[in-house]
Amino acid sequence: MTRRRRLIIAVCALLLPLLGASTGAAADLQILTSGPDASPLAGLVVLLLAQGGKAAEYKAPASAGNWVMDQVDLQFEPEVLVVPVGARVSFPNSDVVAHQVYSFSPARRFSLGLYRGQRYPPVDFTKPGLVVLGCNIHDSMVGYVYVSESPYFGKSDATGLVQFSGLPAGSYLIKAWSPRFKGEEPETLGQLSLGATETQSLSLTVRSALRPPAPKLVHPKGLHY
Amino acid sequence: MAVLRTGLRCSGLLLWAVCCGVTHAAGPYDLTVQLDLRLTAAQSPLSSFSQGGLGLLRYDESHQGLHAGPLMLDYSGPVTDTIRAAAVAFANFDGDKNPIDLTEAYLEWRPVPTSPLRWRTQVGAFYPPISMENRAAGWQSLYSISSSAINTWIGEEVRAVGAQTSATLVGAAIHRPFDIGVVAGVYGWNDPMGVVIQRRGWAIHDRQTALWGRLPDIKGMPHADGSFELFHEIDTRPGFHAGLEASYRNQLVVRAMRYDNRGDPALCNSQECAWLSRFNAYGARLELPQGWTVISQWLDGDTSVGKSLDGRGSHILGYWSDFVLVSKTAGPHRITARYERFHTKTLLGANKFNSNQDGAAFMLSYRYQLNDQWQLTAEGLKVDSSISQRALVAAPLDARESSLQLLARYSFSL
Ligand SMILES: [Cu+2]
Repeated sequence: MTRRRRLIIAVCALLLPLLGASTGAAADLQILTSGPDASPLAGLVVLLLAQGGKAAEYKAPASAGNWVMDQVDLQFEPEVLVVPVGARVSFPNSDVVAHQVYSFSPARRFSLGLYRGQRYPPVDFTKPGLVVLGCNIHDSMVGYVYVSESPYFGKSDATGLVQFSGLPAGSYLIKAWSPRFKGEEPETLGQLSLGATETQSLSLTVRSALRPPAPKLVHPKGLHY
Repeated sequence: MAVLRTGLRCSGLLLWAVCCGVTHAAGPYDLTVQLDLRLTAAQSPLSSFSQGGLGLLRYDESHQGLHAGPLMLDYSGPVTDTIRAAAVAFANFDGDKNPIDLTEAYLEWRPVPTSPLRWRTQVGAFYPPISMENRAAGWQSLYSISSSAINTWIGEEVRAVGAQTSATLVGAAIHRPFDIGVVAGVYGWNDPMGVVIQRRGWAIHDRQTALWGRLPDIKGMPHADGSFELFHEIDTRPGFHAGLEASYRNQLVVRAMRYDNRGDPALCNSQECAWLSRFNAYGARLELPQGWTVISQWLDGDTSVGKSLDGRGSHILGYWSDFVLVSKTAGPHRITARYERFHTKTLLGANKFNSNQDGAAFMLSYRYQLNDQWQLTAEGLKVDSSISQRALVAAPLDARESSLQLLARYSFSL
């Protein structure tokens, strides 16, 4: 089940940039991100905002595919899900206990009454911005849906690496956000010009003050109160 | 009083009906059924409080060996999208008044947050948020078989039958690493609270007094009463509790609470007297990486009974206790150690009844979660205590009690 969801996410992530690149040759981009202390930054949301060229001609489709924000061991999985405007996100509950997922973020207010399994249809995200998720039963559950206005987005892996492929030629503004930031505003990391068929590698450093990463805590089995 | 109690009993039954009827239609519910099988070995010169003695362990030398029980039912389910019904029942198989009885039954309203301030309201019979260790189904300890002296006492004598509201500023919603909350409650039916800690003192076990259940009085003691019922409304004066809770990154939780049952010590009904019981409770729980947990609690208060000119009571007892618990979990394994101290002292009226207790206890437990159904626990407990009123029943003042319990706990969820 989870593997299938992952596959869907992966396919969506691969196909989306291609939509904008259907008219011609495309570029590849690798960004190595690091924090202010120069250590690799994992889970960083990276957005490429088209400023000119082919990339700027892209129009977001009305519907942008199906995405999944799971709930496993009293945690949102993934912690941060980046989706394009128009995405439909389902919130299955893979735990034995019931959750009550909600958000009161201006970008998307919603609430899913107490449920287990896959009780509700997907939630659509039509406004760009950060949507902070909570569970009304478990205070410690916090998750994020980052709704990107640009179709070109990614999230850094454990080594701090974000990869883009099939980018249309043009100039881009590079923005980034992490749940370790002290606010919702993304930081502008720089600007970039991409030729039609080039492959670029960049190293970028986040300057925003970061909170220390949340330690991995063991959620005891049988926890009720 | 009989009317009130019948009313309460009916509301309990009504709650069960609500739980089991309405919620099936409304959505998912959790029902946990749990049965214990215990092998107990005890060493003590005293008989257990559960047999009317002044021993502080649940099982004494005359109740060793293999026994079944208790049976526990923990129900929680939605009534509407934001209202949840919860109830816990225990069958202790120890000759309590009712073979099976409720320990908690309440409705909880959690409106969907529309701002970082999150509200919760409970109505019914429930534990005020004091314990840091009783986090498993049925308000049982997550870490060991027995609870600390503090939480054992909460389970014996303390229950709020009324309403409680809490408001918490959830930091995650505003990109802050901490939550801050306040909680306050008003309640009745907790007037006899204080009688057990005065006559016996602190104890260490896992038996919770049910809403219509009893605890035996000390056999052979002056004015022995047979048994106590803790949840009576005697003075029609509501009690209150108010507290603060703060947490940092879900790793550190700290709490402080004032509890005051505002009992009128001059009043009694046909069965029980009202006690004026007040305490401050403090607690902290630290969760560390690699499955480490450290818990500490401290409770300090007094209780009084009897007519007096100033209304303060003619007999006053002070009490305090603290403990430190360290637990480490890895996969299905959990090892926990706990050290605690406990103390009571008669502050006024010692010429009529002088009760004083001093003690310390050490607990070591190993818990193994075999699968979703079976949990095995081995717990060793050593309690050293001195109780002055043991002289009244010709028992040794100072006693070293120890027990070893092996517990096989079978539970399944519906
Ligand atoms: Cu939850």
